[in-house]
Amino acid sequence: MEEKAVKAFDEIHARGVLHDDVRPANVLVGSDERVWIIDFEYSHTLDGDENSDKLLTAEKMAVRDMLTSIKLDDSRKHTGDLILKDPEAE
Amino acid sequence: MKDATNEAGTASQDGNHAGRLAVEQVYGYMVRNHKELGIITTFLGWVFLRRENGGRLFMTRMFACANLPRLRRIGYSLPTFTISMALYFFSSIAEATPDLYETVGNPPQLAHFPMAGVTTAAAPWIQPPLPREFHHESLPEGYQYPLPYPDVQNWGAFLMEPWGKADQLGPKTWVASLHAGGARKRVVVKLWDSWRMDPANRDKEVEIYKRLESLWGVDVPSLFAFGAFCFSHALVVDYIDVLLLAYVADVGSSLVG
Repeated sequence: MEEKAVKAFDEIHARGVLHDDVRPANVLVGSDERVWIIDFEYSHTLDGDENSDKLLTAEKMAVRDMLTSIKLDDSRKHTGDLILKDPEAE
Repeated sequence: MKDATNEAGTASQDGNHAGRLAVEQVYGYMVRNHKELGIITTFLGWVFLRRENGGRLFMTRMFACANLPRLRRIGYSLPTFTISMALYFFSSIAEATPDLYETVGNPPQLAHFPMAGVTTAAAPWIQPPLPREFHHESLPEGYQYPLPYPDVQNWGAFLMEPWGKADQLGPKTWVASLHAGGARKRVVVKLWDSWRMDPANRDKEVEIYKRLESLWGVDVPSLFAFGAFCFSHALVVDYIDVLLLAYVADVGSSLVG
């Protein structure tokens, strides 16, 4: 799952886009276990940006940090802010 | 408001500069209520203030609410403490700080600030709502929405019930649905208040979605439509069916394990 998330960001970066709002709420795990990146309000393109390599590297690191910092408590409740579907609402 | 060694920007001394007006307003409250300490907060950051008698106000820099690099780039400082720690500390010293009265003249006399009138004549007008319009984006081959788009003029095919808790995803996003015949397609609608914001943020996000068109339906939700919707700037994207809580917990375990 971690590699899927990293690959998804790689694809976005390959198109010259920096997401710039990397956090659990913006990385969804679909019911088919596919990873989706959402919310591009703070994103921007890196065309001609002389710092693009540094920015992309920093975001890749941020993605790795985010994935490893997702903590679960003993009650099995997610403590991050992933957007989750409430089973009761179905 | 400027620090010669670390200037984040300047504000004109007249006109509607939002940051300057916020500082003036809070300073006014502090003087009127004889308070030495004050706080300004936005969705993104916090500023702590202290005033001295004689019209002097000191401010910290703007501390970001979270450790987000994008906030640093627009002038916020990333604190080495948490905002909760700062509030705990600030509350303590505020409670222990006596009232500070503003004085004028020599010998000093208590400054008098008359209340403003109760008329709304000087209040600014809000802009009228934008006309209702909606544009539909073409979709790449292979991800063509299988149902016909709802008629632009026929809003009966677009159902949004923002009051339903199950449809509330966040402060700006809701689940809605497109209807065509007996078929139904769930979508996510993102709205920006058009009375307060111009469509630039929406348009910027639309441009990013267009840039990522080859990833629609793969790594990124498909963009369905954008435009003005009631009193909002709107963006409509595909709905992603997210894993149930317990299952995500297992996935999360594998991430950190």
